[in-house]
Amino acid sequence: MEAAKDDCVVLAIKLGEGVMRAGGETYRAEECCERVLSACGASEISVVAFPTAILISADVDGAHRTEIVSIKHRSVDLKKIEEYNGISRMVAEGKMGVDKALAAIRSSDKERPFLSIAFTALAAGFFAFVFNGGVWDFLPTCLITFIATAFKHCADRLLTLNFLSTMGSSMIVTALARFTVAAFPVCSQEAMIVGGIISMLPGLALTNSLRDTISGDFISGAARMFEALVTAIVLAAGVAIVLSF
Amino acid sequence: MEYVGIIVAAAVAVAFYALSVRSSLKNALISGILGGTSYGFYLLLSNYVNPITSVFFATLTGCLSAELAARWAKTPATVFSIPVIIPLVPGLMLYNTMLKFGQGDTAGGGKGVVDTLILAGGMSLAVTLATLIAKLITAIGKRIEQKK
Repeated sequence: MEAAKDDCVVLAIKLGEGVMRAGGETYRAEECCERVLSACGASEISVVAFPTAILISADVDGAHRTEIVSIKHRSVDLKKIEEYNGISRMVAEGKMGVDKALAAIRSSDKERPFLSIAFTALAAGFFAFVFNGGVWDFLPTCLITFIATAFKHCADRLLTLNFLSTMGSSMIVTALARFTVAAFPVCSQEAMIVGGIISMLPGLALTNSLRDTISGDFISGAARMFEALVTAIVLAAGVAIVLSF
Repeated sequence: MEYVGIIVAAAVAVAFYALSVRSSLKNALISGILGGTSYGFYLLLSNYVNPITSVFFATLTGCLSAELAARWAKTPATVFSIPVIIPLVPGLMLYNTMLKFGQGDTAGGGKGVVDTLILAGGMSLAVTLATLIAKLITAIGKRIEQKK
């Protein structure tokens, strides 16, 4: 039983960490942890989540437990947010045991970067059409975005500074769009650049920063708002630098 | 009628964007429909009101429908609200602003920065309002259930 209670704390922090890593809201990560700990009979539960760390403190069977996990890398993974939220609910409702939940987390399928990059490129192609582009802009936008997103993915793995990779990829999009227009004047530079950078714009950070602020998580809200602002600035700077030549 | 092609393209783009951030196929399709509809609403409104007002109401509609869809699909609202607002993010405005800076038109670029910030502020306000409305409705619903 003791082992199961220990697993409970491990499960709670893994769920919270997973939600934060996947780009979920702070209150959702905290709720996931609290749900699991309450279901395990823990008392004096205290969970604090930030975009960079998550802390849990609870009394489990009379013993006080504290867990801290540092979060270095964050991405957007809607499937994981949904999955982890579902697991915490099932554990809370008694439909899933702690062991099964831990196994589900371990077997949770890994990210497939190629598919993600390909879908981003296709989305960019259609966005180019939305932003005043023609049918002939579709293929170049897809190719340009594919190259820029692949670069961003590789750079994110090598560098800890995600902002540099964002700036680099916006520069690649702009430079390749200019080359394409020089080679094929029928293409629209505006549509290709906007289509290429729109998926990199900080929509998630902006949405979550506001949701966090409304929920009373002011530190997370402010941190994410700052992240959104810096991302927008570096994206815009990348475009401006290439356009100025 | 002229907008149909753009709305369909926006819907498909939103669905592919949702898939790129690992949304499930079902949720990506729902996001695409909601994203296309809210972008269509934006295009329709932009004929009558200024861009800030049209973006505000389109974002509000998109986020509220995302909250409703999330309750129906029993999934976190973020899963829908993030892809839905993507076409409304002021990317074109940001590009034009940067183009002006690149061409040395600092005054035009400065105005563009202010316009983009105001538009993003309008979107933020709409996201906030939609979340608050959804929370309020949920709280009222829970109270009614408790009284029963």
